[in-house]
Amino acid sequence: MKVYVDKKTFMCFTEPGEDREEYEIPVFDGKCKEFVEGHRYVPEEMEWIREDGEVFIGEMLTYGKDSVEVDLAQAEYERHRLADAENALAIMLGGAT
Amino acid sequence: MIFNMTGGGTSLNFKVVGGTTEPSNPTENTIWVKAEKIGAWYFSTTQPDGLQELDVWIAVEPSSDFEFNALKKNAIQVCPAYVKQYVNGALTDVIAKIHKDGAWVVLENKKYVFKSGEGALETITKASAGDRYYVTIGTERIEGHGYDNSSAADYVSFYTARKDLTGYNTLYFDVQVTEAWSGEEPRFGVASSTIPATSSGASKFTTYTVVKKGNRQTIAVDISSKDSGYIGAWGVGNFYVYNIWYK
Repeated sequence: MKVYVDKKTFMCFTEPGEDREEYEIPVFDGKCKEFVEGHRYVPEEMEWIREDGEVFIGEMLTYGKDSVEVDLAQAEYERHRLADAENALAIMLGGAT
Repeated sequence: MIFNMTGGGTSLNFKVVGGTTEPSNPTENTIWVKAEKIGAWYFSTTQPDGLQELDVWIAVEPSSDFEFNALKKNAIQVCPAYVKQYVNGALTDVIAKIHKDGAWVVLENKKYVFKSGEGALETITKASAGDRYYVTIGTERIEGHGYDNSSAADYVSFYTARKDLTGYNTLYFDVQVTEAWSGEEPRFGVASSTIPATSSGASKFTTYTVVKKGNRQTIAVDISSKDSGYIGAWGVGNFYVYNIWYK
């Protein structure tokens, strides 16, 4: 999936924007906007310094927001998709002769 | 719980002091807390109740590398692990050191998963795709072999049980990758579930650092926003992991 990474914070976005670089990150395939935008991606050989001074060198992918909330958003997204698929199937079967 | 008493100091075999610089001429078992000022101090296994501003909590565990006898006579063994200070209504991490055998040693909440010389400190599950590829968990290191040559390579993985990582910020691997398949280089971090030695193992990892072929190095993975998961590795390559720890 194409994502857009902020050049300073390395946070991921689903839309292009100022100071964002495009990357292809397969692990985000099928994931919702909240899941993608809850992550930080530090590209290979680039460096991110956390506010406590710890240095991280890419390639690194991590949660940039609370993982419980991010994962919950993805679980909700998948639940809705499943419900939509079940409804579509029910309509299709209901219309069969 | 042990907390500081007024008077009776000559019976104690340690001191807890604050200050912005390490004390000069410290005695054995002096615990220095890097803070302009400290209040009362408490040794306990769990967060003490009723902490006041600037109070210090010295967390103790069943064992630690910093064990000492708290009394000059008789014996109460104390195993400090890490230190936090109560600032602005919350316990916060603080730099602290203990003076042992003539040197300052940092007190920090460091948990080992694998330690070279001791081996795995908990159960580590291994997986590999096929008989010619393997993971071995020894005393000195974990070895992953998933690459024979440019025509023969496949996935290998290993992982712990699910761990609560709340309150920990960084995961470290002391690792060397000696061979790697381009695009599927070994990644080290925390997975959301157990990690199969197949292509689908990649989807289990959204907290990882990739390590390419090169020298032995210590890599860091940010886990400050990760609540829990399976610490491990996955990829197509050959690697040696000497130490795994988090704090």
